[in-house]
Amino acid sequence: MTPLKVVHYINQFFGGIGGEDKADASPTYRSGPVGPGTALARHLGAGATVVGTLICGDNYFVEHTDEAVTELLQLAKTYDADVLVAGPAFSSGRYGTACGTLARAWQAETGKPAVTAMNENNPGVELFRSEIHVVRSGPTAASMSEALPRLAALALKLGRGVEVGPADAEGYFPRGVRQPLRLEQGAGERAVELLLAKLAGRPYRTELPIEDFGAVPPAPPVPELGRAVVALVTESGLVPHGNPDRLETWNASRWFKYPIAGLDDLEPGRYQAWHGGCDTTWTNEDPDRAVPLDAARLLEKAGVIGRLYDHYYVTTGNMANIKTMARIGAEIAQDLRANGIQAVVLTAT
Amino acid sequence: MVTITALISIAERVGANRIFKTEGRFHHPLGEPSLTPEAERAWRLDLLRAAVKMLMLPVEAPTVRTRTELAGG
Repeated sequence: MTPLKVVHYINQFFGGIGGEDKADASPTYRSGPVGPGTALARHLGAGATVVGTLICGDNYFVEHTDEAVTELLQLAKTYDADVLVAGPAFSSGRYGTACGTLARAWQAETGKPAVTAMNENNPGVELFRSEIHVVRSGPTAASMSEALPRLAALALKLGRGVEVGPADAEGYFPRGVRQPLRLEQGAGERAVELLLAKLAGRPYRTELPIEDFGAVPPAPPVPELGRAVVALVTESGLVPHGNPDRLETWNASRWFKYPIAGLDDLEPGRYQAWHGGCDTTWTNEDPDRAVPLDAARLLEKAGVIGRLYDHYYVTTGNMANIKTMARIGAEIAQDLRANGIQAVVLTAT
Repeated sequence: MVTITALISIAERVGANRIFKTEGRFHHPLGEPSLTPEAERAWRLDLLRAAVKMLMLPVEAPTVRTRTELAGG
């Protein structure tokens, strides 16, 4: 079997260019493996060759994402690789975002598989796990030698088009995909065995883990609200009249931000609540009832809050898919952080 | 983040940590149509002033507060 060709993406630190001081490094490439790519190559063994390495600074990537993706994909294509491996990014949010964004773009543009690895706390996990395979890793580079074998194994399977097993078995984050399986025992028998195990206090394993919302660690209090930048976020579906960006009224898959700079309130008639889960009459009558811009401006003028961010964010919280909303939340959070926002008022219908 | 809502049990269930129990109906959380527009604006301002206090509140888990409870400080 001819070895697969793998192109490896790493950041400026793992690429040996430098640390935070070099996070602005623009995309470069080197042939063969670099840094952890050497160990990756070892784990890939005879099955694949790391033909080239793409390196980009984490800041450059997140601040010039479109350009970075274009440049990196162009460089990647010169290698005619079968698989793109990105990271491992461990817990580094910027690096994880870069790995996920590049991997997704690679898959979309070339139709070939990409795989990356991150720690469960990396915001990139929620953003990308349903679109690309994200292998689980420990939180720091200390777990490199533990993550690489699984990353390599999955890269080989994906590159060869071999069927990939369930998330738990292969060590990646569940993608929300269900595959039918044929089992020896019928469901009735399995259910009874499960119940008997439960009653006897023996270990048992559910076949269908019910999605738990999980606990979100509370953010520390804002130290000085009078100096904080605060943003208004809403799930009331309030959008400019005519819903120009086509936000859905239920099962929303998108979010938007709309400008409020220089406005002291939201004018009736200019906005409408695009929400299929409640009577929107009163909010349409006065949009400030859903997004309290009038009150927020007065608090800003009074110095109760430092500054109101110049956009409000919106999605529709109605019959929403949990995973999608987790993604939307993560994306909005990313945007909030990128814009220096320190606190949020979320109005929920 | 402070979540302003009338549907407290949902907010608690999904793990929102700072939950402000609003006095408006769920479909207009910061609206009170029975008031005159001027009175409603003052009502909304007072509610929002209370809600943002929660941003400075240390919490360990989903915590609900009302306007009255936050009036103290």
